[in-house]
Amino acid sequence: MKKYFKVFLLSLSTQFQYRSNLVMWLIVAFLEPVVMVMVWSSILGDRPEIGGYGRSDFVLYYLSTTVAWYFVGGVFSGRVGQAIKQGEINKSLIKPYSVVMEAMAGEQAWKVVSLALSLPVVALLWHLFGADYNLQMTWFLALALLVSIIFGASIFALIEALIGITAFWFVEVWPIGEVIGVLRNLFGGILAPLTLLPLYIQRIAVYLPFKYIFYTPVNLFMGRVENPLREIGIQGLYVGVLYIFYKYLWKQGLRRYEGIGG
Amino acid sequence: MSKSVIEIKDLTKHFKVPVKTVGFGASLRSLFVRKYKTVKAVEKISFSIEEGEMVGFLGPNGAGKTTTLKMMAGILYPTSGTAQVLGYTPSERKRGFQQKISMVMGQKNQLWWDLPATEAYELNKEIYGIPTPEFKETLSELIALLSVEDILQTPVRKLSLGQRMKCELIASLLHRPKVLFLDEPTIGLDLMTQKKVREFLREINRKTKTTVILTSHYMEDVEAICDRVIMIDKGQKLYDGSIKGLIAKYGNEKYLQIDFDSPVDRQELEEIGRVVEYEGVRATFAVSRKDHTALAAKILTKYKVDNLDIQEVKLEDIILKHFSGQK
Repeated sequence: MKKYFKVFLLSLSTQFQYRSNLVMWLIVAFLEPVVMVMVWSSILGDRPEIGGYGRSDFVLYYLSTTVAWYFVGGVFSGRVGQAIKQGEINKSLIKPYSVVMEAMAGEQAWKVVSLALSLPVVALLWHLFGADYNLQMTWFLALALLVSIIFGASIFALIEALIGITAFWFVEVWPIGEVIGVLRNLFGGILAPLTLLPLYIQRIAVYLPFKYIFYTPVNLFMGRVENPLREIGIQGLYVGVLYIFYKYLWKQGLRRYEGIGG
Repeated sequence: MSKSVIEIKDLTKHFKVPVKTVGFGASLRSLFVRKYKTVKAVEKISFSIEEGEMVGFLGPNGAGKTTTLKMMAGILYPTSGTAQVLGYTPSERKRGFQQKISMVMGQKNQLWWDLPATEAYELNKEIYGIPTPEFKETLSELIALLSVEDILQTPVRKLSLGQRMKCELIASLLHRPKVLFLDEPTIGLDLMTQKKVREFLREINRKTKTTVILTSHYMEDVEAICDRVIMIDKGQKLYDGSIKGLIAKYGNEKYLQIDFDSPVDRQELEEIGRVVEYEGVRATFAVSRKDHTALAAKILTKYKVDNLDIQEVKLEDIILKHFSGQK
């Protein structure tokens, strides 16, 4: 794993070469939760709550989704797809080194920078809008949260890896990435808390892996999960199934690989 | 007795490629019904290479050189046939195999674009698990051999192509591979750098007995680096042996270069033999091996000659002649 930590550090150094990007990430970190909170605030109007979510619940929900995104999500399918398409994976096929892990570690670098930049923004927003929220955190819950974040990140990464390696079959991976992205936002509770969405969407979401990426850890954090062990168990199951599927597809893909370019 | 490090038997690679269609209607139809054709990139090639050999793959674009190289390095699965490199099957990509080989692709970059080359070296140290003292020793040795001390701290994107290739070579040799595959290592480099790279490869081979297999468009590369050439065309092996043998087999002519005292009419010279170069006072004849002394004597008696030079046909000429179909 040391080699991928090195990749992470190298990518981090690369981030600092482009200082103007940092400002952009700061704006993105600020904008997303603010916009969502504003939308729900206006929907709430004078009502104290909608579907069990009051103003401070919404603030906490979107702030923790934002933070969870930086921990859990790293969109690297495009990098993997590009590497396969342009033959960049050749260099990793001849070394004890994985191009998918490289893409993941590399992507995580800007996530960390963004997280560092967004934390003061999140703290400020929390102070302004959500400070009256009463968070209950126990050691058990903290441990469950940690495991849940790791599993969520693994599910996210495996889905990204799977999208990326479809490049062995398709010329472009971004259309698949876009479709999965929309599904993830809807069924994964990024757009809105799942319990506020129509019942049929909630029913479908149960059978998809997306809600186990962000929604489970965020709800654990907010103390809204009745049976944490069950949820974490399902997360673990998804990690296992997706991993086996990924290994199988990778092997099949390499058999088709044409090693494009010099 | 030297042992063979590479054993290739009936190695074959076929690609299935979609047939490109022209026009909007045809493109639309190809959305639903796509036609494919099979390209035979490599067809039943066999050879073996011994430890410490330096072998050049020659052939025109699309001959199958790079595909063969990629199958030997484990990048591509063969369609059929077998490849054994250092006792491993390359396509299985075992760690032990990857630790012992390396590949430099002239058109691909393994360095980090925005960072100095040393960062990529540090990463390779982790990838191959090279112990620090060994890493330092190899690195300083390679740096000295290629004289790149001054550029190691410069971001790779600011390096010239030649400087970058030197840095790439270092990156690929840090783990002291037993077999080094080079795909067009001198492509686009200036003459000075080409020469340096060639000298470097010979030195590495001499010092560490690294087996080197390279493809190149530059005949000078092959002549300067390799003891043996394998000529490939249309996926098939045409020749396998020494450069001298290749010249003897295909180069059935010699060149007579003559400097006359005063200009001689070209037409007049054409009557004596086949003129391949003409500059008035200087002319070059291409003549069959067995006749070249007779022709030389004839010219010397007929004209006042300042200088006469008998030259072997260049490897490049043979390849050119061969692949343009005029054997």
